[in-house]
Amino acid sequence: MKINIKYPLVVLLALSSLFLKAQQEGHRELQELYQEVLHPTDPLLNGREYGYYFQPKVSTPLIPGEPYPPASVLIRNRLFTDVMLLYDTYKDLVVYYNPGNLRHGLPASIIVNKQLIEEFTLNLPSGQARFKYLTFPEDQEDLLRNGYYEIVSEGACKFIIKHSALKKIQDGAVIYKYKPERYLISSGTAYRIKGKKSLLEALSDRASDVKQYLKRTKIQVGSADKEQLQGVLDYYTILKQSGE
Amino acid sequence: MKTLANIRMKFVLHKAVCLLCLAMLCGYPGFSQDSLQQFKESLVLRTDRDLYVVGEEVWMKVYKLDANDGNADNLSKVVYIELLNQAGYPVNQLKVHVPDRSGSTGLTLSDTLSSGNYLLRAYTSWMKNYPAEDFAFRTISVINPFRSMENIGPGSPDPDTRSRDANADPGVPDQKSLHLDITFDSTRYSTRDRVKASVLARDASGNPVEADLSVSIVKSGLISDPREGIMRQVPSGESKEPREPARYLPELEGVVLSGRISNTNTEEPIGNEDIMLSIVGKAARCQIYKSNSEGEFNFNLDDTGVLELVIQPVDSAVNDYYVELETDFLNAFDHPLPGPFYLDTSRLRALNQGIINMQIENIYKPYRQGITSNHAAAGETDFYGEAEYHIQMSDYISLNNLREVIKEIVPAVSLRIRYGESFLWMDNGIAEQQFYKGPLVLVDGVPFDDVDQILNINIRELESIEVINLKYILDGRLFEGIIHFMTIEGKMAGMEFKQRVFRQAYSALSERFSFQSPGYSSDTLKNSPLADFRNTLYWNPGLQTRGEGSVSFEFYTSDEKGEYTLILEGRSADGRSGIIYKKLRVQ
Repeated sequence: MKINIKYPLVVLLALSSLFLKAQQEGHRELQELYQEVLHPTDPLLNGREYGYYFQPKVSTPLIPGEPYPPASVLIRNRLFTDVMLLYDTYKDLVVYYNPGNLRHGLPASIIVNKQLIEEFTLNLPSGQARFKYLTFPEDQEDLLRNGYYEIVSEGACKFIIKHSALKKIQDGAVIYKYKPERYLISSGTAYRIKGKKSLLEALSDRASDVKQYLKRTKIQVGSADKEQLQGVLDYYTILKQSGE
Repeated sequence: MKTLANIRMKFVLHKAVCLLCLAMLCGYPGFSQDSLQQFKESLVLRTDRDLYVVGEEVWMKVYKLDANDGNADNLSKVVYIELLNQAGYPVNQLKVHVPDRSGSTGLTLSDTLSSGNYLLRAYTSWMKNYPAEDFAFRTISVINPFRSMENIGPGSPDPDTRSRDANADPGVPDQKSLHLDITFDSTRYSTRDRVKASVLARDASGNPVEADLSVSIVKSGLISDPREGIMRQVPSGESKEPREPARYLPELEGVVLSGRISNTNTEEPIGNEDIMLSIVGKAARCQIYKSNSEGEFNFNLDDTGVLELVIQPVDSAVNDYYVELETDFLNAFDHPLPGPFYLDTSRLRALNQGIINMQIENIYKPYRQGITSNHAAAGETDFYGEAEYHIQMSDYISLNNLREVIKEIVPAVSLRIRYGESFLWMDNGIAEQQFYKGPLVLVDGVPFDDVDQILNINIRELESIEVINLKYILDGRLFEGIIHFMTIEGKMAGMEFKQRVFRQAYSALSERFSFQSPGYSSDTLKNSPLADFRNTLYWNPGLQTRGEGSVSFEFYTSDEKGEYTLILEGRSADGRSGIIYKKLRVQ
């Protein structure tokens, strides 16, 4: 006896998948409901007013510059996109800029509490940059201080950039000179990467191979951008994984 | 050739499948509001054994599952565990923080408990929207040798009672079983000897499985015979419908503290009002929530231990109010309660030895590294982070009173008098944008606007003062600066609020317990005179097999010879579960 139950079975399978989807949807909706009920106010509205201690027309320690491209921030496991976030490279602060706050009697620029921020992403001229607040053990404090760092890669060899600024007097005016610093953290030790020598020191267990690679690819470490340096680190990781 | 019977059979089957589809279609939850309640959580609760003596710890592990498919899940982060007596009255309650898919805790059995059967039940806030029958349960038996055992009957355990130990573990079909195996490094062990064990977790086809395991090794007389079924998985039965439209929120961070604020005179809810929650202590941990039209508010609390909460409207003009907090634990017991306890006379000797062991342990445990209770690292930082000015009183010469301290030492703050009352004025240093409202004044983390009373604080009781002389936004509410007075004791120096406020002790998340057994790795430790008579030789709720499906662990035997039973159980993320028992002899 051959029974044609093909079509009802197809419907049955489709309904099963709908059930599964509904469960997942329920999970997500519960999370959204929780956030709406427990944290109804804009979480970025937590912090003190940001005071402009510089003359924007002369020099600014804030990145990115105008027109402020949209940024995103992760707070309490919730991603907020299209927000105007700025990073003060001199004072190591995250600034939430929203002129709409003024309508509610609140300051337009607020320093967001660092306890709240899990990570944030800025659109910089050099590309997208993901930042996290990092803390370091006491023995590394001479080289690295607690603060926000751009996380370029988090593999066996961690590549981070401190976007900082130096305050200088130039022609009688105070200027903030943007000065990013690149660091590698390998096996718990941090190295500041200024040039070829310091890079080879950080990757000392594969120094000769890395040196050959730099020569072959004509990468000048001192002036290399983060993608080029990341390329070197990827090569180093492959070397380590293959055990060469 | 088609017979009439064949055609009829085909029609019937066709109809059956169509009806099944129709039934599913009717039950299809959709994606809107209904799908919220479609997600159903369940828990599985495990204990290190099932027979205890008062004064001992019950070690527990809880797994969080998606009730619809039995897979591991991680929605709620707080699990409520209650120990109910035979009358259904909770004799111990815990709020356990479980940030991952499973978690563990311990519970000390008070010596005020009578001997008998007790029911452990576990649930999440979201599960409170469903009948209590769907919670996770486990029956344990407790012996109190210091009280009369009149409610204990001699004989064997009643099989009917045992079979009611529904464990709220969704049924485990054979194809979803987890095959566990354990091997020891030796067949016999002496006292204070090191035991090494390796665990393998595989599926029905023999493939390695990543599993979340717990292992307990206990005196054989202190667990029921596995054949009796007490440690056996029992399906929870059919899924129940929610009690009513979802009333309780899932807790995705810490405990959700819900309540309602109403007017004392009219009993009308105070809606759309900024309500501030603060906690008496050295750190300022304030939160603001705008009450809804029903006067309801919700706060998230991820602190540990007993807290002294203060809940008050931010606007001090609202002073005729009262606050009612929702209870965290559910007062519904629509499930079977534990049956009577029958003392198994064949285990009397083992029970006697267990009672003696408990007493020896309670004498020696404080003198050795052992079971400890740790305070979880609470968020002890102020909500405002680092202050602009921090004045540590011990850094300055002693002045006569706080008035002098504010005048001489505290920057950016001055004391003024208006209509006969003192108030604090904050200078933000910007002449054209001076503050005109007062700052948020905190004493030991709590907003307190009676400045004259603050000025009467004995400065020997004052530890430090912090000042933020900038506009500060807390949960969307603007304050023109913050000044925080912190006393040495952190208890508000006995100050009284001018108006009635809600101030109440509240048990937040339970303190974390972790099991630690003594180690005898060196001769000095091995020859230690401290007696070791653990009834639970080893408990590890955090074993995880990785890609290879294996994991190993080690522990030391105690001073007591005899037979022990190892109970190894676990679950995989895709809902496989398994349990095995193995004997271990110490000679």
